[in-house]
Amino acid sequence: DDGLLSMFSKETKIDLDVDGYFPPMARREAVEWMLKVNAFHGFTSLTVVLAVNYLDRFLTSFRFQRDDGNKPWMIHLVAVACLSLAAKVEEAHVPLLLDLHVGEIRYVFESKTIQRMELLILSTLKWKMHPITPLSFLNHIIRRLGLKIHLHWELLKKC
Amino acid sequence: MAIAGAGQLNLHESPCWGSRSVDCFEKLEQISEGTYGQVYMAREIKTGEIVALKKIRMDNERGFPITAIREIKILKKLHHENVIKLKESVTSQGAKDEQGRPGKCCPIPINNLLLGATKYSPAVDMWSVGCIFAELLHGKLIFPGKDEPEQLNKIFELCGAPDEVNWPGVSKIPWYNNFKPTRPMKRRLREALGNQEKAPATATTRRKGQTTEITAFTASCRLPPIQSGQAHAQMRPGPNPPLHGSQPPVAAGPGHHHGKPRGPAGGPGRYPANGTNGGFNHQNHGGGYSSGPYPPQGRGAPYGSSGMPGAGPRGSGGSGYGVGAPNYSQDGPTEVLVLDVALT
Repeated sequence: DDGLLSMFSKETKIDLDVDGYFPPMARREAVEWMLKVNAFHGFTSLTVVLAVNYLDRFLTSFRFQRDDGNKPWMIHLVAVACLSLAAKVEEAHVPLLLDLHVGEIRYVFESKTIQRMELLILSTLKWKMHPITPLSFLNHIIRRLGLKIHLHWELLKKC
Repeated sequence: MAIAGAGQLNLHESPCWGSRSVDCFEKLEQISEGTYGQVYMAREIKTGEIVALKKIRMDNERGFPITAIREIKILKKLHHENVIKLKESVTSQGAKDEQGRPGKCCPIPINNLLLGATKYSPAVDMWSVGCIFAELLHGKLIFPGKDEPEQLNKIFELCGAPDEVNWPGVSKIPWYNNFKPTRPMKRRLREALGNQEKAPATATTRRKGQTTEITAFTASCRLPPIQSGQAHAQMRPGPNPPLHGSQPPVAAGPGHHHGKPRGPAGGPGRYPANGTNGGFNHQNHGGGYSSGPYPPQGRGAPYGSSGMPGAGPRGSGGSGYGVGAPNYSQDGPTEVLVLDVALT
């Protein structure tokens, strides 16, 4: 299948080795926070998948400094900006930056700060904001099934 | 809750990241200016290549503009000789804040917000679609104004003057009083575009009907985005149909994300499904934050010399796309320029 092959060729591997800059729990907390906000705003699954993809790519390609790991707000700021970008890529209705501060908030960033981080992420990710994700494969394969039964549609809707 | 406050934020250093600056290009002349920024003809200094340079303004409340994200997304997918190719994205050290400057319209009123309305919404896209349809039918620009007042006048002449009936909420829009026509103007879209001798053969009656409807002044309208070709079902033929009111959203086909149930709506920044301000005139939304425990605006980003360091020059990755940004400045807003290729 050409479509699948093309997706395989475009898929990039992310080596999650944050090299001890951040405590091991930091990424996990960031992802959990993203999932919460995603649910709160009713974003699609693809949005949060994209956001996590951006987060991981940023964490692995940005050259952090030694003591950045001692700044827990930093990874949270990255998470906020990643989610904001993902929402803008994927969602029909995107909240204001300040409205991304939901749930148990440990840090609040002003919009301008988030905007700068958005730019830093866009730049670091080389403006490649449409990576191949597991959802791309699911979507493709389910469509190939022909969507003959209701269950297929249901599954696709959840992707 | 902690605020990433002043003490933690190093605001004075300018880490370098990305690789290309707008300084790689020499601006030759401004081609147009729209609500979202200016477009220049420019020359890449190294290669001499002529490009179109589109300057994107930052939005203080929303960050990097969604319109730019979408534009990049769509342009990356489009490969056609008649569609401009996106070559690269670069950033600049911010010029001073240009927000609030009265925007002059570009010759094609596509994607423009009218009358100082600040809210980008699906309605704006519908207006743009209508303009494009109409121009395809007409064979030329339909609102060839050289500046905003002239352009608005041309719009009013063709579509009729806006009022609370055909555009609920219009009287609350910032510049409505400055630009509203002094004499009554009737809608004559059908007369003007209905009998196009020059129109392509494909312009069927039904399409004309759609054009009439889409360019209706009910742009604040609850017209749903076009989905799977179903939108025309909403567009009844007939002159001057009020499209306002609570039209149910078009049920999107399964798998289409617009059709999914959404989470709790109603936060600021949502497009109102109904109501008088129709998605425009949102300058004061987000109220309720001003007294919150947020650091005052105007402070820079919380990464600096001891924060996010310079990433050093990065390779362009060979994609020729989105090569990032150098000389990240902490002073003043940074703007991103989206470069479109060759204006040849």
